[in-house]
Amino acid sequence: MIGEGFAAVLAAAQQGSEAAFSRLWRDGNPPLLRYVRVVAPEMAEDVAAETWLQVVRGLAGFQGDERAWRAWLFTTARRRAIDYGRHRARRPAGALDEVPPGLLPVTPDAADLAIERIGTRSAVALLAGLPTTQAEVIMLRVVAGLDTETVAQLVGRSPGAVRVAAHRGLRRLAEIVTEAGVTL
Amino acid sequence: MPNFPWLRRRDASETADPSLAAVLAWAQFPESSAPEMRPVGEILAALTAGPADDELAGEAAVLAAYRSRPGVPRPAPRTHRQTRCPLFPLLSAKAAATAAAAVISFGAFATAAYARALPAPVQQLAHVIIGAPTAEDKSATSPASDSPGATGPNGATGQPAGASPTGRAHPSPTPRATGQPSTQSTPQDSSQPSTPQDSGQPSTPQDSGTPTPTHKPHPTPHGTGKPTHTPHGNG
Repeated sequence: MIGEGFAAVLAAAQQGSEAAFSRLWRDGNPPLLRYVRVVAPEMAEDVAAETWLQVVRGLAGFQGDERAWRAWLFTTARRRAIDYGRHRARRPAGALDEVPPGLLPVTPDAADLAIERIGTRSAVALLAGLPTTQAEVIMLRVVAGLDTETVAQLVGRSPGAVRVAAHRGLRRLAEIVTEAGVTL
Repeated sequence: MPNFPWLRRRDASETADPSLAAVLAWAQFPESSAPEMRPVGEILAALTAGPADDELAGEAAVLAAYRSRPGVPRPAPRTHRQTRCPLFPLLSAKAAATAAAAVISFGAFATAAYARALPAPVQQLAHVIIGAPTAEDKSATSPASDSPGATGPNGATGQPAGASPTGRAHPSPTPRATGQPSTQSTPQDSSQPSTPQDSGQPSTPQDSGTPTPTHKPHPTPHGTGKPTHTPHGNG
């Protein structure tokens, strides 16, 4: 997150500063990609690219602090992911053999978890193995940095349901890691 | 979605876990947390780590979209109007100079025309355009030949009936102190001073009274064009 200088950076980006917009993008794209790789792993790059196109179009009209900015960014990404999912649902599904290797979901095996420090990609893959709601809530709370109320509005659930989903997801993560025999 | 009571109780028990609450509140993963939760902390730390190279690979494409978005304030291109703007004062000065030169030239032309100093074809042209005397006017009869007494068959004025009082199809350009006949002169014209309105034409040096050659009558639709030599009484 940018922090105290966010307002100035946003204003500069809205005025046409490429450097300011670049900073917004560099701050927002990594967590955005990680979120999209959990909720829509097969089309993460497309969803992220489309999200930023939407952001560019609506940049001049955006008003709010950094939390509102992040909420807008991830809301846009979620809607793009849903649109892509609906589009894919209309198209006939192909056999896994026809899916390029780069698009196959990645799940780290226990050996990888044991040998190396958990990297970002592996952590994302672990989250992707959780139930959709739990994974999404954890990503929005932890990676996007949104509070419970904002996440609740975004996913269309109550704040209490969001808290329950987050806790259950973290507990499930703990079980997965324990089953894999990972030691610190 | 309604909040079910049993979910609320579960929610209360799970939120009582300080480790999870701390993690979800963006706080540091507490050291006092249960051992089985520590890997979770590692996972969450990895999720919030700094950007990887592949996560910053699409910056160029996004910046291109940013540059080409509608409403982007861009440096104003040099328009045709802007390119002409610096020249406008120069063009005004040139236009003013050209206009002044034209006026001066015309003035000199008119002066020469009324002085009958132009070549004959040009003098004739000046006569047509601005009413300057023709080149033939140089050979007009002297004022004496157009004596006041000379009248034509049409009456005292020597003009046919219906003719204009001045008997001139073209106004006399200048008042002539010498009584030199106008271009439309009839025998009577010499006795008539040029009307003030004729002075609308630029004056000529002839006003000084320099004698001119005799006047040759200029044929007009009104006047006889020819002096009559037979005086008729005005009777």
